Amino acid sequence: MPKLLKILLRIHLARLGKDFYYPHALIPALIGGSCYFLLHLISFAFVLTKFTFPDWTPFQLWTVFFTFEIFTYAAFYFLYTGMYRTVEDISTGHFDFFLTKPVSSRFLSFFRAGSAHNLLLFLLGFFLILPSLTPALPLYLLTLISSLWVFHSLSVILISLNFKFGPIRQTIGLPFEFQETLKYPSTLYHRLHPLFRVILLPLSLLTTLPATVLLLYPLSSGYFVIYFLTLIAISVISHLAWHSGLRHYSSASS
Amino acid sequence: MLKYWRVFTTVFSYHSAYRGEVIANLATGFLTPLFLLAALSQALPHGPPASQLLPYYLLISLTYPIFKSDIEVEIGQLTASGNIALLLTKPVRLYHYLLFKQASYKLTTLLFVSPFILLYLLGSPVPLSRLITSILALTVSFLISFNLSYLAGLATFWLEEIWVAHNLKDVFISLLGGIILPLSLFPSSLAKFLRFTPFPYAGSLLAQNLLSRSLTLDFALGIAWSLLLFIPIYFLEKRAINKYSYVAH
Repeated sequence: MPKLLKILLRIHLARLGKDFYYPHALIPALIGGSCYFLLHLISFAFVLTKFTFPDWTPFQLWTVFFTFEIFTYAAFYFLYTGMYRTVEDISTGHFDFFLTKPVSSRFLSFFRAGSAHNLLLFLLGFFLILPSLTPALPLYLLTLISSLWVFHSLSVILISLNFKFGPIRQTIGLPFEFQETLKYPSTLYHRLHPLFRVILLPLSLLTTLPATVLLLYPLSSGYFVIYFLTLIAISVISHLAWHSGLRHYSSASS
Repeated sequence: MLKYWRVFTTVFSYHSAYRGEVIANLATGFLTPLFLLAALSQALPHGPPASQLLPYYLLISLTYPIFKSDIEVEIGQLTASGNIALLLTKPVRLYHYLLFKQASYKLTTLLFVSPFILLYLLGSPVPLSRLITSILALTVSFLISFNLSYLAGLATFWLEEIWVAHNLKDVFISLLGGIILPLSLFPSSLAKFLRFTPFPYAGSLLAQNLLSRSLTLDFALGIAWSLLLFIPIYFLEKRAINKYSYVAH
């Protein structure tokens, strides 16, 4: 583990150094990245003027929303570059490079450094959530990290399909297509049709659970159980999917 | 004109053969509205309920891919790779070449989507006059969307990365064009102001027309914008190509 953290730190520091060394490229990137931040902020504000969400005050809803912003930009910074480049590497054959290294290929290919503008927007989200801060902050951070792990595992499952079926570029952005569920509290979905609940509830808990931990909101224990079951199940499935994909990739190139 | 027709038929043939990407793009367009409606259906509305938004979002998901343009990404790739120089030396105008290419891709998308639109119209019939105005709305939306994308694409002659201009264009059209949220959810003063911008006509004009709303003024404004956008394109394109040519000397 310390070796992996050392590698992660070096990769990220190198990328950040490069980004901050060229501010003329960073500033337009920040403008381009922040427009989606604002898109979500403005559309959410408009929704709140027209709809009320039962059992949630506007302050609590904004906390869930800013948790969504923090989560999204953390996912873009830590995970998106890896998702994008892994699909490219699989289709071009450059993925062989990762198989030759004495470090987990999953770690090397997925945890590449993102652009500094995503990190800055991730920190902006934290700045905006300051009014909600409570002593539960360390637990909030821990649940946020486990939510990011679930998101990463979901992307691994989808990208593993590229090993078997060839380049499917849509697998890169597909996990981000679910982000609308992350803006709203999970308690909304308990009356939906079971088919919708099975998909929406675990996804929405990725942000609702950290937010409720931070707010010390009295969330039913059932949601915690669903969250941890999702965490375990998706971790196992992603591990199996990745290794199955690797076997297919290696056998195809033998 | 023959050379542009050849571009049109070649691209049509390509996208008809590799239709997986067209289908995947269409399918993913349904996800965000579906999740938003699922959340709003459980909320308490201050006005019309979320169920009234269902036909709107269904039409947006079906119609927006038909005219949505991402040509700025292609322009960005051409300038980044230097391949744009090949196009600039040919006896074709860059704008017309990309317009025919995009029209061809969108025709393929229309062919895939049309059975679903027909199914919707079977459930919610509209008079023939509205179908005819829908063709006009489609043309206006395609032209405005393409022209806005082309303008964003010209930014690559000055900017290093195209995705900045791409994001800005996407956000303006998605938010202010009624794709993410219908303009009825906006404050009324802002919704009135937006009517005089090109964004609603690059986004939700066709869906609004099929929902049988009276849109005479909107059509007039849409046609005006589709013509007005040619002015900045003409001047910026000349400057962009001059800049590129100057740098290449």
